[in-house]
Amino acid sequence: MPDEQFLKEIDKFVEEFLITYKQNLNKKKDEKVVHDALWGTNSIKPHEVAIIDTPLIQRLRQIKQTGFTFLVFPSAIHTRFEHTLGVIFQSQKLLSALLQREGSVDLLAGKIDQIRAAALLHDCGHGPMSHTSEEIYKCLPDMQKLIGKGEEHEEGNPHEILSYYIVTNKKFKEYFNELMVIYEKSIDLEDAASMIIGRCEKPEDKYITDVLNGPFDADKLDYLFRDGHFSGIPLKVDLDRLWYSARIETVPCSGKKIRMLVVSTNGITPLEQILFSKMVLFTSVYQHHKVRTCDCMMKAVYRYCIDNKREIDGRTLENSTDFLWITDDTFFAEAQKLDKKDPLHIMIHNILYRRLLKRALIISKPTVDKKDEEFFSYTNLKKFQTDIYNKDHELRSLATEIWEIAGKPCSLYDVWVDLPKLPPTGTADDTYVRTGTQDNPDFEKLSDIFKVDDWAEDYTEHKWRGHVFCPNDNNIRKKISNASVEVFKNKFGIEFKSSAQTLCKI
Amino acid sequence: METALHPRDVLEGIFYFYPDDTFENNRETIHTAIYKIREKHFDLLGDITFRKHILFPRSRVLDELLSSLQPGLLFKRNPTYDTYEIKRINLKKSWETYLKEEFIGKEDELKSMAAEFKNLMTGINNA
Repeated sequence: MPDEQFLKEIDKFVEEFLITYKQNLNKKKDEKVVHDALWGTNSIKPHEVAIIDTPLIQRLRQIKQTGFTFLVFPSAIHTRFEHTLGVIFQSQKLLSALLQREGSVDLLAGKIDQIRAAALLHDCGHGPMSHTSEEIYKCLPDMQKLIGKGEEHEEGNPHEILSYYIVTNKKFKEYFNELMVIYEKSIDLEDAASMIIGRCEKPEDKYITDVLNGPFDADKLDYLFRDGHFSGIPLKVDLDRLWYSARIETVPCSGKKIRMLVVSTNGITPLEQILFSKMVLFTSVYQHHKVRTCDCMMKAVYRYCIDNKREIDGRTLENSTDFLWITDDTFFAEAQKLDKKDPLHIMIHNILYRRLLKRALIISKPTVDKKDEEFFSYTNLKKFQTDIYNKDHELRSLATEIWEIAGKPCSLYDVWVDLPKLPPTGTADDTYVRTGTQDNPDFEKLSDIFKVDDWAEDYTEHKWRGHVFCPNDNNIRKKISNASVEVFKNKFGIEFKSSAQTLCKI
Repeated sequence: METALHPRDVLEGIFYFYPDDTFENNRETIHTAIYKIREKHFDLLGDITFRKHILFPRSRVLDELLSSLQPGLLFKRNPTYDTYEIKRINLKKSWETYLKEEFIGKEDELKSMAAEFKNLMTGINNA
């Protein structure tokens, strides 16, 4: 359960970013037409325009969709705002395709506005640099009380949890109800909020949640295309084919009968394209080593603030809700308020002006000596790859040990061990394919037809890279690199090939 | 109370005492089984967090842990990926190098978890 302080902070945020601007309800909005670089011309309904015009959604213009990737892929400066609109458009396209199917009209009656509302609000809880800050605040005590072990939203995505509590906030609900009256709409806000966190209590309603939080949901379709397009990595998914094959069916599974989105057999190829696109984006964009460097540098800023009781934009960063008040712009602007010699100014400007940390060691299958044919030692190290609550703490201990053995040649804030998690798989277990005939339908899990997730796991496993990062000074890099080799050998028994160091170009 | 044991070490312990050399690679069955065992042995498996999904309880952490055990301690048999095979030699090495010491006083609990895992894997498959 959320603690009282958490709820109070959400309340303050809603008051500031929504209620203060309640006067915008006085003038009824018109429908708007939006031109999107990916999805072309689409319309936004009047009541949606009213919500979009509030700072709650407008602030998403100041949060980059893919965090620091713009420092590697220069055109990746698209924001959560564009993505939010894109998810509305993709939801609508999927819904329009489903409406062509016999029997779907009744099932979707009264649900379309709800799904679009959930799409509009699904990312309103994002903080600066999107998932980069999420990696930081997910470990904070107030968030752990929600997503930690045994808690109500165990293993939930932190930004979705923040969005959920914003949308279910009392003041938000009052605002929304007023909006519904003015625009003569009826949307179940609780159901929309549940969709955001992928929660579905009723087996007969799963297809509604699936549109936003399912195996081929609108969120995924938009981010795959958008992130690929703006990072300059063209990806191809046959969306026409996917929509044509999508349908709502009642599927017997796990001892229950669940009404969900399924595909016919001709939808398998686009699903595989989606999975492959995701893998490519993870390995070449989201987990590019320069992007990971920046993520570590932002963590360093956070650590510095906590250790020295410093603030970013007046926020102590001790609670997950602090991150709601900060955007990319205010994060970088903090440096301007400080003396040029202030370490915090330097740390932020090092990111902004791309004075990045460099690699001192590459940890990967190809750089580990295969003397141990079974890769036993390498496997042993990988336990720290797993995204459990104290992962960062363990990795900081490793970095500290390396730094000490290297003779403390730089600031500890500049030494990082980064073992990124693998991209999530498991989609094939959630996806059902309709086999059989129209009159006598049968269903199979995609994973029973082809274990596509296992194949993808092998792919990403092979591509996975861990790193040790340190300042861009050859003398320091050599020391940290050698110390890293020593620590990994002593602690895990790993022997590295020379390429683990030479590929770093020290 | 937080456990000092890494959940992957617990899984290694379960597989060390697992009575067979193979088990089916079926995500639903594996996740459901570990979810059920976790309810009884929360002190050891609590860190493997789960989402209570309408289809079956699923854990991103468990996916990552199983992946991290490969290729050293587990592997999926090619080309079908239908079966996980336990690498007994390496698990023995693991047990003797550090697990044995970590699980002093908990060996019986691990054995019972392994037996339970076996029963659930078979039982769920036959249900």
